[in-house]
Amino acid sequence: MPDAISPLRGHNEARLAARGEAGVVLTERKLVSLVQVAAWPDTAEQVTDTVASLVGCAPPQLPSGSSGDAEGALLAIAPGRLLVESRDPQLAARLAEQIGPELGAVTDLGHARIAIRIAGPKAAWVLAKGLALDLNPAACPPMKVAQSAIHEVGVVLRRLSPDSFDLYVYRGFALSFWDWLTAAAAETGYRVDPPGSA
Amino acid sequence: MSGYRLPSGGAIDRSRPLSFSFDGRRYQGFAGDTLASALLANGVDVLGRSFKYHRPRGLFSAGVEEPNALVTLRPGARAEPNTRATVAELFDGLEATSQNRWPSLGFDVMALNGLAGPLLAAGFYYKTFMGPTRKAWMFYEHFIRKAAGLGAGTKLPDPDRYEEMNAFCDVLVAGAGPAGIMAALAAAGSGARVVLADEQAELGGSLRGGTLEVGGTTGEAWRRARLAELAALDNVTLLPRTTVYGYYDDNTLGAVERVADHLATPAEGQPRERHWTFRARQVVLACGAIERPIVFGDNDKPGVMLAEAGRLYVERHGVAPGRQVALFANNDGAYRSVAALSAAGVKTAAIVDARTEIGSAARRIAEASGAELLLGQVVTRARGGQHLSGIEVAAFDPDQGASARGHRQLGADCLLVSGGWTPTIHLASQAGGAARWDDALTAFLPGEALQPWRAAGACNGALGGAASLAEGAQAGAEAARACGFAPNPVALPALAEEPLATAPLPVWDARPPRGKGKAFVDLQHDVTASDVSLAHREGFRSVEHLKRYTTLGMATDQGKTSNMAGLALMARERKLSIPEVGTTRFRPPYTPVALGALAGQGIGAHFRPTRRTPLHDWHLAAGAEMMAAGIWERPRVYYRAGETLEQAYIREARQVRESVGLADVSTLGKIDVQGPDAAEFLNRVYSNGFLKLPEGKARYGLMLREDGLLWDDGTTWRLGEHRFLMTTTTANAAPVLSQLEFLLAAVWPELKVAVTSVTEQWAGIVLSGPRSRDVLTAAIDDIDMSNAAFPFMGVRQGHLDGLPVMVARLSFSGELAYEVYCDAHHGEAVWTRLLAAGKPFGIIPYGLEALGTLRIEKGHVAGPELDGRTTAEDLGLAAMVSTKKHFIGSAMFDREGLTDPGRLKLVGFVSADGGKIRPGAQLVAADDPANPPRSLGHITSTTYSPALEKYIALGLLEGGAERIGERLVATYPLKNIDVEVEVVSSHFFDPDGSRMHA
Repeated sequence: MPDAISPLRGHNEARLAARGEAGVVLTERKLVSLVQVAAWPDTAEQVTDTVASLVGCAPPQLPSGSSGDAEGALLAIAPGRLLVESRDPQLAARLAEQIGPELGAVTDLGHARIAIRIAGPKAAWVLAKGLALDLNPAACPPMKVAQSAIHEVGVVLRRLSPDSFDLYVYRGFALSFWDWLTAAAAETGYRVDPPGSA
Repeated sequence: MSGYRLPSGGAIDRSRPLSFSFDGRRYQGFAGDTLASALLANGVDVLGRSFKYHRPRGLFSAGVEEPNALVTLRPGARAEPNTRATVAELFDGLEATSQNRWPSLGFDVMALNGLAGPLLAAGFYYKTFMGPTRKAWMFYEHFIRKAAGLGAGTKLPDPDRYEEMNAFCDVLVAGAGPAGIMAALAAAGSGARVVLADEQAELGGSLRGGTLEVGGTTGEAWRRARLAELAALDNVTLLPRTTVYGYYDDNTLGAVERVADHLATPAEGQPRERHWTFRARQVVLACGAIERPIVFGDNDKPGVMLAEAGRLYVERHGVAPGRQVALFANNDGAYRSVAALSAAGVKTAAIVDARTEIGSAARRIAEASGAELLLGQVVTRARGGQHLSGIEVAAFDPDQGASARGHRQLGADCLLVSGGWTPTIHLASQAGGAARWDDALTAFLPGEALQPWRAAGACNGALGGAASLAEGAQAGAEAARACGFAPNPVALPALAEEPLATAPLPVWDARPPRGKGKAFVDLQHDVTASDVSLAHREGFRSVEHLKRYTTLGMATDQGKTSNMAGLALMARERKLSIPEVGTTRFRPPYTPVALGALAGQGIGAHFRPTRRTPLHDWHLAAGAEMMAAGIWERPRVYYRAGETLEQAYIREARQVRESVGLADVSTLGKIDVQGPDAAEFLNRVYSNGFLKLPEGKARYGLMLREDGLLWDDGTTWRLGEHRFLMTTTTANAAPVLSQLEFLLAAVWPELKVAVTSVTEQWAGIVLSGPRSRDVLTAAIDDIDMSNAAFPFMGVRQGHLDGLPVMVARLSFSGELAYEVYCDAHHGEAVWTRLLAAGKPFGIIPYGLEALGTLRIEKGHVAGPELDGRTTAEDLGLAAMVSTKKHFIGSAMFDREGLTDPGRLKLVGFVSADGGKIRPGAQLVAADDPANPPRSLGHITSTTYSPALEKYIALGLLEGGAERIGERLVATYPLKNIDVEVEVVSSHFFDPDGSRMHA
């Protein structure tokens, strides 16, 4: 099978663009599986529990939390809607087996998004240049998820720690967004780590 | 040549000399200087020419209110006109030039305007040149604009970057003078998130460089200590060089931080300016106040400046404004300037005060200075050539509000003027009720707060240091409390006694009746007291009309030093009080904002984001010319050497008809529709039926708007009992998804259906042409491609090189055609595999132009026909609208206006004279196209048809198919293009569809 081609090919390779210490580190993460699960109003709880046990993590805190780690994670992106990431390439099929039409809908988005990690002491500062959300840790603690837009590009944002965030970006906008992001990070200096290293 | 650098003092760094130039001459200043203070220190006293009369003008202030000293900073692409020298921080190598003068500042030809002064009163240009016709003004305007005006901007692209920043806080304090600092201290102590922003280079406001004793030390030392305390707190952000310029709804405030304006060039990666959008829970407005001048004859002579400016130049910059200084005041506060001059060893020759009684602190200062104290007197006129040489002084009658005739002359090379203070209520006015008049201060104060703000300090009328500090502390604590914090009281520093500016004697125009000299109200726009009188005589009574007629209060300073005098003089004319005359409303911005700061990163390629398909890189490598389709980039044609655009698309379209081509259709909107009620949902959304669509089949569907007009079209594929893939037009992908989500959330919440955009999940490739089946047969081995096994509108799933693909047999081109969908990251692999499989058949990629050509030949409608004004019947799609079910639009589609037989209907056109038909051309009767009676319709889509070997078009025409065979003219008057056309069926090519069913 031919290799999957990232829309950031030719742009996401490792480099340093900083005078001294880089304020942020940018990395395109490798998305093995990304699946959206939508439950019906009366099945939300059951679906969440089913997904959580299949992925092997706790249900996320509602209404806009997340759970899990790089092996498998659940992001609550809307009422009754989860974005599920996993290193299992068969995630979509496995979820569809367990969640039939009576419970909800399973949609593979593994090729529809790319994932970018932005980490470092200036991560929140750089994001705030385009994100009209309060990133103060009190308002946006680790594991918080938000659907928003950065410079007119829709993003799902997940805070991992005070200094690191994962951004899920529409594939077609990926390069345009990456250009914006690296321009926004020019002030603090940035480093790009090899794709898939975060 | 009156200003000079004092041997000591000032908050400047004398160990860091800076070199700069003004109009090509080199000068030296120090770190901590502004361009204004450095020029003053070098004895440069003419900095510009006035707007209308081209009179020489010097420094008038030391802050943002400056009306005169507008200069162009920097050369070349970084040139910035109309910058106030008073706020431009000096840097080494700064190049500044004066404006609005020719050939030089010292000798300006246009100063002749001054001699014609009486002719050039308010409204002169309009009255004279507007003429009987609009044409006259168009002719003269060019010359008038050249003669009057400000600096010229550069036409070179700005090399610098501008950025945006979103910020959230509990308490935003706008202004970091004594009140702002105390407010920030009070709020920050409670743990609230505080932002303290101020327009100046350093925070501190009037305390900067101040020598008045505060808390047992100098004002300068006190503010440094307090700012250090604030800077040490995690919950406080200090923003110097940041002007909060606008107050918007929901407690959103706009501010601009001049990140690198004080540097010759920004550091690498550093933005020149940063636009801040604050979303604050509470706001403290501590914006200070601006001193106001007094009107008298020739009050614009270089050497006349505001009293506070004189103090600041001495205390902050170590520059004396003159050698023989006089003060003209109507309040005690102005004596602070005399005290500062005395402390620096600068002699005050005379103090002219309109009042007969002055306060004890003021009197002590006056006596200590050795100045001649002239009470009950006013300055009636300034004397001198290009610079002040003396003043005329006369007794003042406060009852008449005017001075006596006859005067005494005094020598002076600098006159400091103080007519009281005008609180800076701009932000309060933007987010508050009508301003409140204060008789004692003769000033407007903030009105009712219509958003969560409170004003403190001078902008709230607390013109003394002690009152200001106390108000600030209180406002900060209240703001924190309103956010749910529990602030502790902060100690107020003790203050030395100071003369206060709180009770000025109203003196607006100090001239005797029919006094000599031009008496300026608005220095920046050369509006005189007599212009205000003229406006009144001509019936302009409202202050809004006064402003627009005389231009008083307009331009870069927005009347910061002129509005109050203008109101007062209007009030005098109308024999009303100032509050009865009223004030104009303040709008953002408080001070000028560079457009670059508002645009931020949204320029050039980032004006809007670009959307690329998974095949983008391939298209570029293949030499495609890309074109914008909404925000998508799509290949237009793939040129071969020497081809024109038309030749290229004709070749591509012909090859599709003759053999096979492939095109990137990844931009089509794709929506995953799933759930037990999915079929029912689609049946309500589309105008045609979807309940009985079998699995493995696709159906073309029409969507109407609620008003019955056509909205969107596309095919929807049934992938399973409860699962569909809907496709939409590229343009409507997002609106259709929004509409579906709305319907599910609000109209039919009982339906169990989930809709998700999968536009980005799939790469879409269309294979079109008689050999397309052969190509797919070679590339895909697990789908039976035979006509019987895979009929028209069939949908199949299979594999290509092990990659899962979905194939649908659909045709937009009218040829045998298939759409192949695969995972987006594999799009390029599938595309190149199909190209390889098609090589024996001469396969080519084709672009948007050929896609258009093929669908126009077939008579298929697209965006130009689905223009929001057409119905299904107009486009010959009436059979697609069910009369047996309810659907969105069914209640309205057959209303009177939409079934009118006179409506425009879709037909085809063939160029009869071989001319190219222009989209948008109007269809008119052929007999006299130059004077057509009226339009019968218009052309929507055009192309050259390789199948017919003619220019053809689709269009909407009155009477539609009834007119087939008629000859009309497609006229495009904007370009004088007339093409004779014949009306034909819109199905130009293969009308029975045998090719796509083959």
